[in-house]
Amino acid sequence: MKIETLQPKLIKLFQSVIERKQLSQGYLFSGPAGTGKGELATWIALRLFCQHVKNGVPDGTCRECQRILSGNHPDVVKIAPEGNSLKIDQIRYLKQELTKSGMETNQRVFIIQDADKMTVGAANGLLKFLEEPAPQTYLILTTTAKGQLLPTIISRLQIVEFSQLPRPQLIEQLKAAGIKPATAALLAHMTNSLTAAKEWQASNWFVPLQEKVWQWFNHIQNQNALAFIDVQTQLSPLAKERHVQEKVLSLVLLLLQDVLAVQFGQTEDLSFPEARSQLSTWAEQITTPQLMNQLQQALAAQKYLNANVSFQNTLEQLTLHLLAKSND
Amino acid sequence: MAYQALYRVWRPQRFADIVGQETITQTLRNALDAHQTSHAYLFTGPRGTGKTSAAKILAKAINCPNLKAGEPCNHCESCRAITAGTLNDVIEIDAASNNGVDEIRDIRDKAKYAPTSAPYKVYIIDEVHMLSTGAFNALLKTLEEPPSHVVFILATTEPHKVPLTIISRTQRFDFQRISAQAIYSRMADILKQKEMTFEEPALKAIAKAAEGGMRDALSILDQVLSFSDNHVTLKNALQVTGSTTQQLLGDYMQAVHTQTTTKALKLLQQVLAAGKDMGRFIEDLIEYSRDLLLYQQAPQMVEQIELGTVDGQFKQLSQDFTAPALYWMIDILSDSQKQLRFTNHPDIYLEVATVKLCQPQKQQSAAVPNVTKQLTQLKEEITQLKQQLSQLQTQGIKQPIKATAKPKTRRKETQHANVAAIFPVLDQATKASLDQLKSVWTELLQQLPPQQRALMHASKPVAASPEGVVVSFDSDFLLGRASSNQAMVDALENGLDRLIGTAPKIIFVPQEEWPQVRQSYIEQHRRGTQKTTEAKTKSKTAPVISQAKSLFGSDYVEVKDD
Repeated sequence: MKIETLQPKLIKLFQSVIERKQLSQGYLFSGPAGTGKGELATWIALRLFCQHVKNGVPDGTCRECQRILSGNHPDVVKIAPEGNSLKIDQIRYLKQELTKSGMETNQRVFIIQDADKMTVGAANGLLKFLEEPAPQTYLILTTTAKGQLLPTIISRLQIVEFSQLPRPQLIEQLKAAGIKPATAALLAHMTNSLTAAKEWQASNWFVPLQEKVWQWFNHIQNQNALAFIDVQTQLSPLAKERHVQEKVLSLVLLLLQDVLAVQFGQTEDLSFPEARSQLSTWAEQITTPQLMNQLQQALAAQKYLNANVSFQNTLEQLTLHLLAKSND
Repeated sequence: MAYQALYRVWRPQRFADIVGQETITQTLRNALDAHQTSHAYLFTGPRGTGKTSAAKILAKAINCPNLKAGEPCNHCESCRAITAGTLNDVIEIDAASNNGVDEIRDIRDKAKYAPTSAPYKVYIIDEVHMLSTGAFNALLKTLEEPPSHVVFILATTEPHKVPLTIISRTQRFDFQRISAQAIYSRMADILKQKEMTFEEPALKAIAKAAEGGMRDALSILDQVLSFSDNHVTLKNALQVTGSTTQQLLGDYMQAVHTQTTTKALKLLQQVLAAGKDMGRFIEDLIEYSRDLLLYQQAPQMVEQIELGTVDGQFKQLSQDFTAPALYWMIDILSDSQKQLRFTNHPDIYLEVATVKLCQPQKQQSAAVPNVTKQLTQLKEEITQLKQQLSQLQTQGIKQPIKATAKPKTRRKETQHANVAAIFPVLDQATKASLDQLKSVWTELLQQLPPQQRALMHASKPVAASPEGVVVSFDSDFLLGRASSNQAMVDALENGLDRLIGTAPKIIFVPQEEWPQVRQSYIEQHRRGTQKTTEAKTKSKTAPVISQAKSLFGSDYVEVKDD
């Protein structure tokens, strides 16, 4: 999806800001994945460097634009974490670059993706640059978890919140892209990005995973100890990669969230709208405090997974907790 | 010239411009006036409170030849050079990037040489907490006894990371958070000088969101200005800060107070859909509860913190909530806030918190009276049992025969719906109380002993009013068993008292009969209303007839009832 349609308000805002020459030197783009943070940062770079700007819109075809889009422009520097954190080498490189003036023009744009992945040292190293950057140097940080950045960094930047596409709209778009309505609702809850949704739909793990998690959850709610066996026989073989493992827990959380919603009669925004009758039987079987407990266990499981506890252990523990909690 | 952020353009250039740190600036000015400046200073405090600004002004004041009442003149050559950052003798070092021993050695070596143009060499070491241990130790000796022409100013946000040996060699100044009031007037000042207009609540919202950091406030203000042409509006301010309106917070708390979970969840959905920052929302809620708590004790204080924005709803809520309830809420909220930082499902955390908040607090208010109640009940039971025992001892055992005979007759009676008891309940029945009851029904059953629970599994509530509950049973047999079991009915009523706060009367009805009972109730109800309307029309026509009679004489008037 093009950034102009994804975040029309923000594009308009930055058009007028650049027009009035009020572009600040440091921005923090914060919002969930797939809301166009990186795209907007690139758009700003295009807007600043493009030689044929018409009505505040870069043409995207001139030499400058082409070089930025292909990542070859010497004055537009993009840094993204390699693996789990922004490595110290990358920050060193960044700092070196920050002290230099532009190669071809006077202005430079630095885009740091997933800035929350910076190490503490790296973040502190940026502080002085952010406070008083060299003239015509623009820094754009993007993050999905603003809370994990240093407060001293945040106070030096202008924060731009990226709101999600309204869910009904996203579902419509997913449907238009040829995804079944039932799956569209689920995908819309899991991601904001159309491309990611399509990719998952086409992948070989998404559909079976959905079925297996559903089966497991059914066992849990019926207090059937088979759920424990499901973890090893059904779920673990499917979820070998890290990102799939995260999806499993997301699915569990969404299921529990739906049960909660049904229990309180809020049925407009379900992830599994087609299984409403099943959801309402579950909602009747369980008391609210028990459900709260299950939700908290599932959230805790997610924390373990992030702390590198093995997937099978995490899920087995969760299963035992959920079964035990429904028994007493 | 590129656009410069407000906080850079309006960086204070004199001690008098530093807002909210009067004690510190006064001390420094007195020291400068009396020529008693130390050779090492440590400025600590949260972000945006003026540490770096104070360090720069101090560097200027020490070197300024026209010092007046401890303020630099800002006109002489050295002052201007320091402002522009070009004076060789004022060296600003970013300790975060120069944190090794080598860089500190470099400072140590160069400190020996006399300054070139100004009287003092000033080293401003910012973010000093990032120095490595080796670097700190390398600095120790120089910091203790530097050459007479050298002044060190260290600045940091995290003083606990600075070794004690460093702190003891410096004069330490702790910068405080700036009060919302001070931030507000400073922003109003800046806007006036820039000749821009503003809405008062907008600046108040920004001042609150800045949390005591002037730089935060000016960054936000900058952004709000770029949204709109030279006019600061509340709408833009709220959009930038991600705060929710006071109105919405009030509504949410109202919903929590009345324990309408559905409404609270709906409001939460609204906040989520508007793309607000969840952390901000929870922070706002905590602040709101804090203010409610404070308002109960010291109303003036809240007016001061909130800069005079206290509305009627807030006052009402502060009366509705008890202090323990508010403690409990703040506990739950801050718990969720902690977890929120490490998750990518903030919405679920908030939903959990909302549902928790809307649950009645069992452990808080209900616990104490309940225990005393149970205690008295138990005492009564014991005395009863004692009496029975003594009776048994005197009279021998003939009761059991009676006891077995009784249930048989009873069962026959209770198999039919008790219409007389049901109708009053239906008169007052509402959907809301039924929903409330349904939501706690499973929990209620969980509290029963297994035997009774098994009995009640075949039941479900079908209608409810504040005074009574109608419960239908699948089978007549179970119904009979249930209604003859007075202990269980008591337990159910007690349980309801605990869970929803009222103890409605419980009436059992067989499931096959329920539709008929309801039907007959509806019919009777309709007839009842018809009757009353008929009566009304009759009484209405009566004056007409009497008037006609008086006009034409009673003989000529014939009353026909159509």
